[in-house]
Amino acid sequence: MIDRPGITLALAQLRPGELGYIRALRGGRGFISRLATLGFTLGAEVEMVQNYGRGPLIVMIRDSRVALGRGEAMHILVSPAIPQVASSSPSAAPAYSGD
Amino acid sequence: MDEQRVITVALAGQPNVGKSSVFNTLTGLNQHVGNWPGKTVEQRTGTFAYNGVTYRLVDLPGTYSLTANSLEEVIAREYIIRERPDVVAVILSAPVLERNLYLVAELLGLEAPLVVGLNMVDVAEQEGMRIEPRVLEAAMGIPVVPMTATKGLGIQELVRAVDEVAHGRTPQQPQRPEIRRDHQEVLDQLLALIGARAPEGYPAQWVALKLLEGDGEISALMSQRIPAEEWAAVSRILLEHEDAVIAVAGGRYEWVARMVRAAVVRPRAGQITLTSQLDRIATHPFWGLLVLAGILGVVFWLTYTVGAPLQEWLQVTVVGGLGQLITSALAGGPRWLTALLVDGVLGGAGTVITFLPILAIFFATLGLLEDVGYMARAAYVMDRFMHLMGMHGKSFLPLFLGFGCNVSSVVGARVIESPRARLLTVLISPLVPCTGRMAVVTFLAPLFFGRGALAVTWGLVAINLVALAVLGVVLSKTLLRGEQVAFIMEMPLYHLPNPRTIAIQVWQRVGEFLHKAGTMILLVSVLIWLLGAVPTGEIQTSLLAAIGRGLEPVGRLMGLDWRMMLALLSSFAAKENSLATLGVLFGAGDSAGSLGSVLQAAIGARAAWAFLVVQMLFVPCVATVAAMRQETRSWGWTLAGVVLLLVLSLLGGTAAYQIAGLL
Repeated sequence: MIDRPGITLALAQLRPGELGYIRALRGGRGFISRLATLGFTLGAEVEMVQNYGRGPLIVMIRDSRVALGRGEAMHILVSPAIPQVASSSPSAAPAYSGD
Repeated sequence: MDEQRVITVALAGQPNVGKSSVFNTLTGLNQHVGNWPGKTVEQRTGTFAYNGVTYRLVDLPGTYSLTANSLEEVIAREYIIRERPDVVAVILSAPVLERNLYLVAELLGLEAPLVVGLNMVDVAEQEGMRIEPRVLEAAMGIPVVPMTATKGLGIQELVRAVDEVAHGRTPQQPQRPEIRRDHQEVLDQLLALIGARAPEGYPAQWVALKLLEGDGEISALMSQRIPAEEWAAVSRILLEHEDAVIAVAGGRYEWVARMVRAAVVRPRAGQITLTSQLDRIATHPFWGLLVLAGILGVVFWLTYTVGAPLQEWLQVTVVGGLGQLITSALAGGPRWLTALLVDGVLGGAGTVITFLPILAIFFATLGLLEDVGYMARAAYVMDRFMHLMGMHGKSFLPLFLGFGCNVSSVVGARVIESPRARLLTVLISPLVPCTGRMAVVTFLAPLFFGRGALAVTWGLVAINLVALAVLGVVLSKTLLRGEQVAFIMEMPLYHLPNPRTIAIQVWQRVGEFLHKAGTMILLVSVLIWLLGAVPTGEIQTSLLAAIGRGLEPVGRLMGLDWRMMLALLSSFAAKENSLATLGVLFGAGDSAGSLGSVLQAAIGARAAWAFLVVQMLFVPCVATVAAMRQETRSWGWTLAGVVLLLVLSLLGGTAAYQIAGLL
């Protein structure tokens, strides 16, 4: 896995087919808790499945497809990975770094 | 032998794992549908026998976790903590194993005896994923049974495993998840402060974790049990570690990763699955809408071409025939009794029951769409439109149900997590034109508008949908203003439907509807009949007529005389009642043809147009009002909804009449 910790984007900025690793979740505790439950934990690998630049989008996280509102996807920060060398093991992602 | 003992098994699982398939296969029709005590969430329980022992199966609501993010999650965990089922059987979806194991990680914290049913192994194989149940079992230390519930495979093995655990023959030595090391210290501090003060049945470690996760329910519970100064210390720790919710979830997912490491072989990247292929069209912003429109078209076509003739047959042959039978059987008896049974009971509640085929077709097609996994796609493509009304995609589904019957849309609003959006959906859903109202329109429109009838019908539907959208926008910006609730929705894998699950669901919904028709609707239709018969026995001189005449000043604004106003009022019992009332009041005899000509002579097209507009927008029928009360648990909101529609419909009717006068 090649990871570029320097660059952080909103999840909504990933294009279809691109991979990213979750860096931070912004929002109320309820929102964060619902996302974390679905597998959006720090370091988890996420793949953009559908993103037309407006409206809701679909991502793949931990083998499941999840639809998110664009607003919600703006509150999830990811560091993009280079797609062609993507690893298939999310557990190898960097450790939790605190706040 | 311990035949006397009933073993209780709780069935847990995330949404879309085929849990109802398992439940239905095990219990068949030996099930009972009710509500969880004090909640509006449906509770299903059933029984089955194995080795001479009776098992009681309790279907817990489908939940992603056991944190108090939703009512369902609170219900599921409270049941396990307070009722202490003998075994908790967790159903997992094999293709989405990691996220499903998250729930197992949560359940292990509750220290309940677990059995894992690894469902949909066939789908996982199609997706190119291979899972070794034995390896997974060894890693977790709890029994794992591979299953394909839709084909009935693995169900017996699951029961055997449950039986073994219930009788203590399978020792439970689970590997429990641990918190991430950087939060262990905080957790220990919290544990020390909680001490032995967790309520009975609540493991202290679990309570501490839930506090760290910011669980509102557990915080409220513990703040009652811990002295104020110590609670202040707890609050201080929690405030310092507000981000702990991610660390706790991360810890559980680390456990999940350890469990699956050796047990799962994944497909090579780049494999295009059936779901991705179908989704290219079904979730496309343009093609997806076309697909949705096409599916809705087919559902309506089925409902009207198959359901409507059945409805008519029931109305003419069964209800009409029963009426004649009663009339001749009671020929020598009191006239009022015949009138009560024929006009009151059969004319009201009987007519409502004739809509059963239409509802059954609707429930079946929707059940099918839900079961194959399409409904989430419909919600997804409608999301951007629903946002305009301060709601998101999930509200589309219940509103759509309203085309069949508003009761199902009000009840269907349960799928929406946010109480605000749920209430909004309940309040605006009576504006969806239901089959009852459409029956009135399809009868009256051709009488007055001839060739233009179809255009008038579409116009009326459009007025309702515009009113719905406007009301939604206004309410979400005024009375029901609040935080937009996040749109986060799983898109399940497409899979083949299970006819048995759909059939049982239709059967239960139909039963609920019949129950309502036999109680609430029956009561109101008899009441309206009574008002029309008291004191003289003639409707023209009855209390109901007096009420109608009292309403005439309002009616005049819309060009409606007292009889039209009464027809409108009687639609409160059931929408299609207004036709029956018009028939009685215009003394048109029994055949619809002659009612048509009498109406044509008595009412102008302008008044008829106004009447149709009002009746389309008018207050919801009594069954819908009852459902609104049940779902909102508030008479205040229910009445507010009714008054809102009353005002809206009278304004709409007046505007329709006055504007038509200008043309």
